[in-house]
Amino acid sequence: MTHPVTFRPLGQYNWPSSPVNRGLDTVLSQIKKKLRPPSKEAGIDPEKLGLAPDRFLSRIAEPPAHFPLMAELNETLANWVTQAPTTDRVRTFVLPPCDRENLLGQWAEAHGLQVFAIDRTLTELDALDDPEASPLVIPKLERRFLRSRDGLHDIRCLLDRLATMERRIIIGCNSWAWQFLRKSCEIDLIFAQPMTFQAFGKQRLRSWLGTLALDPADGKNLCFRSSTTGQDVFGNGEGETEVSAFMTDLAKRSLGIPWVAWHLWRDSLHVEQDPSEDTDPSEIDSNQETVWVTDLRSPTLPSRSDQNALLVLHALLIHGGLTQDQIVQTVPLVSYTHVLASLQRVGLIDKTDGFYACLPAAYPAIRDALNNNGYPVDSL
Amino acid sequence: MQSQPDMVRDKAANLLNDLQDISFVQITFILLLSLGAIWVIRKTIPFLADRVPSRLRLYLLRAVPILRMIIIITALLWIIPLIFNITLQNFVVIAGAASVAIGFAFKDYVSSLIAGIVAIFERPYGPGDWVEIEGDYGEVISLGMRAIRLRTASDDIITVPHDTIWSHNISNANLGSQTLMCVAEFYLDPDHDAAKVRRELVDVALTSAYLDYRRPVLVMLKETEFATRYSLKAYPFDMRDQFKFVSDLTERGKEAIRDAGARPVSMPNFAANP
Repeated sequence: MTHPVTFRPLGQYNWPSSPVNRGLDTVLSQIKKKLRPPSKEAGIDPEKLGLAPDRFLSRIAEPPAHFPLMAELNETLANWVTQAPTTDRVRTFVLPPCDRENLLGQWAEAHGLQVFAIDRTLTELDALDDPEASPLVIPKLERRFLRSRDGLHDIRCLLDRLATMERRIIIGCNSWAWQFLRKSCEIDLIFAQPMTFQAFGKQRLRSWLGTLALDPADGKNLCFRSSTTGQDVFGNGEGETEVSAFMTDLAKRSLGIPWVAWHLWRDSLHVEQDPSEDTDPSEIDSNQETVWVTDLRSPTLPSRSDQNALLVLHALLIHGGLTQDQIVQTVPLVSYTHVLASLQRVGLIDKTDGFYACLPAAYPAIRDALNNNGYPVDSL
Repeated sequence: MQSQPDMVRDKAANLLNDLQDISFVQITFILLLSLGAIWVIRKTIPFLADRVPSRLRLYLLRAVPILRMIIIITALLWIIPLIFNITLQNFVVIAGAASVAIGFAFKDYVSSLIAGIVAIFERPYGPGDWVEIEGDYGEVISLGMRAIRLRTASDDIITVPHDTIWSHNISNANLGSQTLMCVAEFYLDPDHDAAKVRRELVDVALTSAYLDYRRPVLVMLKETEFATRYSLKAYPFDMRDQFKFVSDLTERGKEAIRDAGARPVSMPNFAANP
């Protein structure tokens, strides 16, 4: 049995593809599609496909989307958590955004560690400063400030307290907020040596998604076939050691981030509809042996001329999610706008419990758009 | 047998090739081809420049004048031998005639053309740069053979001949870089806590949505006769946002100054309280 890999120092993330490669890939695939329409004999007519029902999806691609990272985080922290308090007091994890299931928070709960929740105050933090206690976990630092003068004051107060605490702490922060806090608060000087996970390349993705895809309900081995080529997406590619073109594409498009890959994967899973019946996709019979995997699609992105949209997306990535009022406080939306509604409509953001946030499946495209338009982007 | 002076006279007399030897079709073809290539470059490259990643935009725009110059030189080198009988003597004759014509009739025009070539190599400005020439500040939207065109913040188009570089200072705000320094200025009543105002103004810049994180933020103070002048200096990530950036800094800077307990001065106040 192989040991899970451990997290690495920030800066050693091995990106599966560069923005230039992704841009070229997109252009080439569009040209290919125009020049050589997909063969319906090898794959399947997209008209015959419907979305896989949620119940079926939860069996063949079950949450959480960060599942393999739990073991890796455990491997990284196991010794440090159990050892006696030392001068090495802080562990910092910088993670890509759109982690909706709160990896660090769930890991802390699974290990019985105390979590300093987002709604708790600085005064409460002082009461928790017990040097002998087990580590205190502070996940999602990005949710504890706003990009405003008052917000900077708040986060600086928190960072000052954390810097002088005697209790061991584990801090989680998203990579976009980290970049902002480096500039505005010099956070990298307070919490040195932050870590991040190793990128999920095509092999690791195939291994993880392949394990998930074994349907535990009846032990049936489902076949996941590409809707354009008809090939098994978990099979080998042209070279025997290579994985399929779909898995390679998934690794590139997801930027090696497991929760992004997981959402893209679920979005691409379809089942064949019975043409004789006019059925609702949610009521499709899930007792099928073949699951059709459609090509990954990129959402429509705002251009530079739609600057309000880009400004909002940038703010949402820095904060992990914002209410409408918070967006107004952090983004200079001078003119009357319906930018949030338009971003929701094109599938770049959604709204949950009053918070707008970028959709994980749209994150790579959003990152590329912001990067292409010169916005400061994250660094792993 | 002809003597040496006679041969020289004959060659000089054949300054132009015989008319029947000049291929006007070929010359027209070269001219049309060159003009077509220049037209395509002038249309397609700026079109592409607005669609590629912003870091590549200026590289593409700067290629336009260089490619145009290469095309013109190639066309001239192609056409001249088709028309003229090029010898050393003929060259001297042509150069002499051209000098007289240029000296009397086209001095300023040719001066601008030569300055345009110099500008391509010296780069006092380039397409996409923000420059100030004789009080006009704007973005260089085109760099022609004779002149450049600036688009100002008020959307006026100003044409400036290249020979301005011989006699006037050219102030270039970015010189080919993606960004430029923006300055928001505030004039405050001198009776205030300067350290607090300074800190607040730095935070105003740090929290701007347009800020380029890679560049520094500075606040400079200067005591003037009637007020303390604060200059908040920072860089936007895209120089095309400079006016929005300065407006954002100014708007939120005023609020920060008020929160810091300072008071801006204005001319009516100054006049009322001498």
